[in-house]
Parts: sequence; structure tokens; C-alpha cells
Amino acid sequence: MAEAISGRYLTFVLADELFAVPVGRVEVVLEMQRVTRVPNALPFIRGVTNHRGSVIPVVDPLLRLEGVPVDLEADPAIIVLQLDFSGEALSIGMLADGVREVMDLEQSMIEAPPRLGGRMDSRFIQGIGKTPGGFVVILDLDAAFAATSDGVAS
Amino acid sequence: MAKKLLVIDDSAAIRQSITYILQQDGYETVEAIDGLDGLQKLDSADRFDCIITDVNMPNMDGITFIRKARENPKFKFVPILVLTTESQGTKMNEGKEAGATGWIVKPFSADKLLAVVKKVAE
Amino acid sequence: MIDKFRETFREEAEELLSQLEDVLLELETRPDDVELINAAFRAVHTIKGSAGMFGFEKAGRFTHDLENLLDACRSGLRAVDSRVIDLSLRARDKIRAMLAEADSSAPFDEEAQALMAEFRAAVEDGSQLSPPPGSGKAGSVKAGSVKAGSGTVGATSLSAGSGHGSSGADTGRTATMQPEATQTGADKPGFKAGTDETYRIVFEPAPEIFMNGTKVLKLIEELAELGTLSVVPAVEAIPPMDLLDPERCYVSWNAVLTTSSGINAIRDVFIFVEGASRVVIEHLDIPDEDGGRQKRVGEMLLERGLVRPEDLGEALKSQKRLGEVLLENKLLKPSDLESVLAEQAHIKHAQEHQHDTGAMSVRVASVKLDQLVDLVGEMVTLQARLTSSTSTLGDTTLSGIAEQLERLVSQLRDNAMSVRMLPIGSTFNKFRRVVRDLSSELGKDVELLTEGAETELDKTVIERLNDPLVHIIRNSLDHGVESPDDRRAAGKPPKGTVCLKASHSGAHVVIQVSDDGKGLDMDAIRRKATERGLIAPGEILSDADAGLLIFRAGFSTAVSVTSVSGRGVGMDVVKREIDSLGGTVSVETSAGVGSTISLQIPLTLAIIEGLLVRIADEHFVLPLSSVEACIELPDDAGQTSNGSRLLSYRGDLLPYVELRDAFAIQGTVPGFRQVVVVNSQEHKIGFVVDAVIGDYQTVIKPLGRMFKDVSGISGATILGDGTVALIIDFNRLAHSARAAQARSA
Repeated sequence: MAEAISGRYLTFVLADELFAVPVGRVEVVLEMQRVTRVPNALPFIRGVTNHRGSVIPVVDPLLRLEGVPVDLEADPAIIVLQLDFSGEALSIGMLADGVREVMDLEQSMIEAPPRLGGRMDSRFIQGIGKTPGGFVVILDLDAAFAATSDGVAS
Repeated sequence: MAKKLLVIDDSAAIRQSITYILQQDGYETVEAIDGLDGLQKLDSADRFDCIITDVNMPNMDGITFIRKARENPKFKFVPILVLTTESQGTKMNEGKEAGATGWIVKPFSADKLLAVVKKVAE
Repeated sequence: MIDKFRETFREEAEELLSQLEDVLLELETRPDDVELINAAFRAVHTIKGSAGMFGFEKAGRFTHDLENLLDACRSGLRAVDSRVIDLSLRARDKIRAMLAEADSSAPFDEEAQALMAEFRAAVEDGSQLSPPPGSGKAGSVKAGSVKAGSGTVGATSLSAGSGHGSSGADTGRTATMQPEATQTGADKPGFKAGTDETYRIVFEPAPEIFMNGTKVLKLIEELAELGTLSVVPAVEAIPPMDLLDPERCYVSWNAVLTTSSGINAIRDVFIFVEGASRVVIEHLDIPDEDGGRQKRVGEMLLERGLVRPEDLGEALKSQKRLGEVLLENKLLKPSDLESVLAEQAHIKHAQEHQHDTGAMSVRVASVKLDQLVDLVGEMVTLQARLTSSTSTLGDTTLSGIAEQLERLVSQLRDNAMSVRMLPIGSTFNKFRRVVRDLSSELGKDVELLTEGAETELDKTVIERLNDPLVHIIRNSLDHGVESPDDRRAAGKPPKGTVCLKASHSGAHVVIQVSDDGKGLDMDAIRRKATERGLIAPGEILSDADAGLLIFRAGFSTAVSVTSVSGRGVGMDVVKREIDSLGGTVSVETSAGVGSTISLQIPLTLAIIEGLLVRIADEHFVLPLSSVEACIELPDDAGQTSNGSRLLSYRGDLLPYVELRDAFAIQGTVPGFRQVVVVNSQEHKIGFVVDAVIGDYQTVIKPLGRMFKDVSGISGATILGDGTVALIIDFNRLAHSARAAQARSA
């Protein structure tokens, strides 16, 4: 598992908790738009959507981490991200209840994820950032979503 | 079903070589030695898909034959080819006026004959 | 021509010559007897006409000159005098001698040459009284009635009357075999045979054309065989039914033809109808794509005199399209407009083709082409949005623009797609090596034949076909073609053949791999399939279905497992890959004779014609090329006792799939639903949907690797409102449905 390093992060909210992903991975943040369900897809994939003429998968991080779906009726945002899929770049859309800000995190502010306990699946967490405003969970995007089966990333 | 052709020429050599070429290519043929014989062959047949006739023949020439053949409703629209030589431009027109579909210029090769027959009869 | 009739002809000619002798001798005493002159002419004419066909070319050419002389006498242009009689008699003896000669290719001897010169001189001389040099007799003379000057006139009209006969006489037999080689004004200087030229052809058959046995449509077909033909029939002249005479032709045709055969080939098509029917053939200049400008419709109408300049000016003032205005005001016949538009399109196409085949070609990185096609795909998508928005807005100006843009975009799409098309031949060559290496490894002697290497396919399709084809060819070599010894024992040539053949079939390309090996052992396959539980014991399978078993995972009937293909790995991969290309596989086999595996592949993966359907609020697309019909879901449709779903369709029971169930779609089921009947691998199957929306230009977007294991969906597309619809992998669904049915049966 890759260790979280210092740098700029985009923070967003999922079920009242603050999460972060490296800004370098973010292409754009979209307002909620129609997501088309794909029958028989992996459970954490909510469907596909149109992004600049391409069809990209839309993943649900809350479903992946806690087994609870993001409410699509509540107009979540879609953060378009670059994923490393076995060495190939892949664009995906990730649902988020709301997008907050871009912040800098120093290495010293980042702690390793807790081994056990908590509601979240720690396999998909890269680290915990401690900021004056509180904790922020840094997602391990590739581990969480670059999967072809229900297990951990390929 | 094989296409059936009537070949009318007083020259046995021409008649036989035409039928030979046609038969080699899978056509069915009936021979007649002049226009009169040709008309008799028309009467006794239920159909012909094409008729090839010489012009200069004893008893009844080709032009008269064509006129008479066209009077028979059964052969009103059957393609008729006139055997002619290049020096007979007027015969071509006479033939056309009588109701011929086209002509074959003598001397002709097997390929040429088949091409013309194919052109009008298939 | 045909040696076996040579003797028959010689006998006939012999007879004709002795008749000729009698006639000539009688003519000497009665030179005015028209019947006698005609008889002489006929005899000579018959010999001339046939001689060349039976290997007596020389006699034929010689007789031709004599015939000319007798023809001049027959038509009164030359008197029958002792010179004519004398020459004719000498000629008759000469012809007889020539027919007796074994070798017809020898040059004319002096005597023959001298005689031929005299024939010509006698025709030229006309009525001249002076006896020919060397002729002692000055017999009866009948020249008085013909004026001296008319000899020349006669000669002129004779050559004119004989048409291309003048050239035929000089060059002999070959000249008459070929169409006239005359250059016409339409053929530009610099015209080269073999290069494409474009012609406008107007064909107005004589109304009574059917009466002489002419098959008019056959002529149009003949034209089409010469090259690329755009043809528009003018049907305005067809009267109402009660006035229609079925024996008259009321239709005429306007055509534009691009051909490398030259104008004479076009003339030849109409050779028998020219004269009575109006046939106009005009050469059209195709301006270079960069150099020339495409002519406008108005310009072309004026040029052809189809509209008056003042009407055109008036019509151009209107905001609407020129053609529509002219038609509305009855200033132009619909067929004339259609013909002009067809010509415009044809020329445009010819221009593009010129460009294709021209020396200029550009190498482009394939990734750029992919980008281009992606961009065009986005435009097609955006176009759909524009069209749907303008139709709700109801603004006519905007709708007009949207319509024009739609036309442009669809042309752009076709263009972009065509750029990506490549001949499949490049792949074929790779397989030669595969066959060569593998046959030596297996100790077999196998030759690879290819056909249809020029067949074009989208390059991404070609790339993805490579592996499946390698598998199939390997399989043919390993399991199909026998060892040389076995082949000899079976009475076959020791060298086996594998034939790789590609051809177009509608929106598909069919690729066939056939071998002349031992064929599939159907009994062994059935036995094996039963052993492996792939089919139920006692289940009856047609040979075609049983053949498909070799594409099932883990299936192999090879007695010994070879390193090549005996492990049953491979053929199932073929099936999966072809499925994912939206194609189908079929097998034909004949014991001891060989097998053929056919792949039917869509031409392109990028854009297809789709049928848009809806279930609840979800949209799906089915490939239109496979759709056979849309029907209402009948009341009697339902699950049978064994669980399979069947409905009656055209007197048969049709299995169907509830897409609502297959895709786990929520929502209330409407009272009326529709069934889309689809052809899937030679089976028909129905898919139940809530509603069929209609045709849809479907830009296929891959779903990507995250959906690798999703079954039943082969891709996605973006709809006019920007949302995504899924493309149904109907083959997969049909297959599962059949499998389920087979299990429960």
C-alpha cells in the first residue's frame, strides 16, 4: 500500500465525515448528472455517466468503505479522478456528498491508518490527516476502485 | 432451366457451329434451315428464349421470318438476333424495322456470339 | 474457328462456287437480269461471311473485294460487263484454290493480289468502257446509263454504307471482333484506357422498344457492370392505369457512370437500341478536389436546360432550398431534380475516389484517426441533442440549420469511418507464416489460400480478429488436415489446403476458414459433450449446433493432447472474442471432405445503426442490423411448465427474454409491452421491453475494464439528452436463455 505523502489535497464530505484525495488525481468536479445503472456490475459501481463524450464509471466510496450508498437524490457531486488501473490511467467519477476545499498536508500531519476497528474498511485508507479543523481520511483510490472483482485491487 | 434458342441459317456450317458453341455453354438449341422451316419450328415449340436468324436464305429470308414471328403473340417479345455481315448496314436497319432485337456480325468468334446472346437473352 | 465444321463449310462453299459459275455464265448472256446479279452476290456474300470463321481468313478477305464489286453491280453503280464477268470467274477459280489450300495464313500470291487490285479498279472505274489491260475480250457493254461522275459517288456511298466495313477490309478479321476504335469528341486527348472517366448517359427508349424483344432493364444492369453507376428513372410519363399500354415503355433513365472501360464500352451497351431510342453519352469533367469547385444544383439545372434562368433567379430569392421551390412551383420535374442531385453526389464520390486512388496518400498515426473518430462521435451525439432541442423549441429557422448540420455530420461520420477502414489482406499475410511453421511442426503439408484480401474492415476490428483467426487456423491444421499418408490413403492429394476468405455481406464482413481435411467427427463431439455434461444425455443437437460445441470452454476431442490446440484451450477464446466484437460464429462440416468455420463480424465497432428501447426509465440500444421485427407482447405469452418463456410468432413458438428480469429493473410493468425479435446466431429470440423508441445513430463507447465481467451489456452510447444508454449484448443473453431452456427441457 502506498503511503500518503505531503502535498495538496482536495477534501470532500461523505456521511458527515471529511475525506481527501490528492489534487493531482482530480480532473474536474461535476454537479450531479444522470447516472445510468449497469446491470450485474460490481456493487460499489453505481453506474456510468457521460463525461465530455466519454462514458466513465461512477463509483460510490461510501458503499466501498462502509457498505452504505450515497443518496443520489440528495444531489451529490461527482469528482472525476484519474485511477491507476494496472499501470493504465482510467477516468472515473466518484460520488461525494459535498466538496470542501483544497488544502496542504505536510508529512508530519499524516498518520498511518488504524489497523483495525472503526466502521471503515482500512484497506482503502492511505492515512489520516490531522488538521486544526479535525481529522481527514485520505483515500487510497487505486486500492479502493481499481478492481475488477469484489476483492482488493488487481 | 436451360435457355432454349432457335438457330436459323441455310448454311449447315454456320448453323452447326452456332449450335455447337451454344451447347458448349449450356444452351439448348433447335435448328432450322430457312425462314419457312423456322416458322414451323416456332409453331411446334412452346417457347424460345432467343432466336438467331440469317438474312439471306432461300424460300423465306430472315427479314420476312422476323415479321411473321412477331405476329405470333407467343414470340412477340422474344429477343431475335440477325446474322449479318459488316457490309450490310441496310440489313441491320431492315432487321430492326422488322422487329429484330440486335445483330451478330459475321465472321464472329465464339466469345462474341456468346456475349451477344447473353446481352439480349439472359 | 471450329475445325470440326471446316469440312462442312468447304463442301458448302464448293457447291456455292459451282452455282456461282453457272450464274456468271448465264449473266454473260443476260447482263440485265437483276435476279442473276443478286444470286451471284448472295453466293459470294455467303462465302465471305463464313470463310473467316472456319479458318479460311485469306479466302474471306479475297472474297470481300469481289463482293464489293458485285455489290456495285447489284446497286446499279456499275454495269455488268464482260470485265466483271471475266474477273468474277477468275476470282471464283481462285477462291476454290484458296479453299483447297491447307495453310490459310500464307500471304496472297501474285495472282490473287493482281485480281484484288483489279476488283478495286473495276469498282472505281465504274462505267468505263476500256477493257482492262491483259483482257483480250471486250464483250457486251452496258455502261451507257451510268454517268462517268457517278462512279466516284458510288464508291463514296459504298464505303459510307458499309460503316466500319472499310476498316474491316483492311485489317481483316480482328477488326470486326472489336468495337469501333474511333476516337470521339468525348474522349479527351490524354485519355488513357484503364483510367476512370465519368459519363452522363441519357437513355430514352423508344416507346415501342419492347416490341423487338429488347429487355430494357438488362441494359441498365449492363451499364452498372461497367463501373460505378448512379441512375435515376424518370417516371412522370407513366400514364394512369386505365390509359397504360403495358406493351409500351414510358420510363427513361438518367445515369452517371464512372468507368475505366471507355466510351465505346458504353456505346456497345446501347448498340442495338441506338437510333430508335435516344441515347446521349457525354463525358463529364471531374474537377480535382482541391482545384475545382463542385457545381451547384442551380448551375447544373441551367446547363441541362431544365429550368429557365428567370425561374431560377426567382427561386433563388426564396429562403427555402432551391429544389423544393422549383418543385412546388412545378418549374421542374421531380425526376430531373433527382437526377441532378444524383449526378452531384456521384461526381462528389468520384472526386473522393480520384483522391483515393491518386498518387497522393498521407500516412497518419492511427491514434490521430482514433481521436478523429472520437471527436466525430461526440459531434454525432451533440447533433442528436441539437435535433431534439430544436424540435421542442419549434423554431423553423433553427430546425433548418439543425437539419443541414445533421446532413453534414452524417457525411463527416461516414468519411471519418471510411478513413479507418483497412483491407484485411495485411493480416492474411501473417497467417502464411503461421501455416508454414505449424505444418512443418506437425509433419503436414498444407497450403494457405486467401481470397478477398481487399475486403475492408475497421482497423480496430482487424486488430482484434488476429488472435481468433490464429486459433482457428491452428485448429484446422491440427485437427482438420490429415497427415500426408492419411490423405493418400483417403484418396486425397497429400498436400492439404486451408482457405481464408473474406467478403462483404451487408453491414457485416464474413470471414471463412475452410480446410479440406477430415471434417469434424460429430459423433465424437456429441459423445464428448455428453461426458462433459455440456449436453444432456439423449439430447438431440443439429450438426450446426453440435459443431458449435467445439467453442465451449474445456472442450477437446483430440485423441492425443498436442502442444498446438489439443487442450481445448483456444476455441472458446475465439467464441468469446467474436462475441465481444458483436459477431457470430458458425461451423459447417462434412465427414472426409473438410470443415468451414465462418465468422460474421460487423464492419465497424465505432458507430452502428441502433434501435432505442425503454424499460421503466432506463434506455437500451439493440443493433438494428440484427433486429427482425417489433411486435406487441401477445396475451398468450408466458412461462411454460418447464420454466422457458415462449410466445407465438408467425406460427412458431419464439423463446423470449424478460429484460426487466435479466437487468433487475424496478418499477411497475405497463399493460402493453413490446417484443423486439432479433436474429441471434441463426436463432430468433424476443426481448421484452416497455416501449420501442426508434432508430438511433449509435456511437459505441466501450464500458471499460471495470465492467469486464458484466454480461448482457456490450457497450454504451450517449443519447441526445446527454445521458448514457447501454447496448445490449443480445447474443450473450440469447445464449444464456437457450442454455437455460436446454437445461430445463
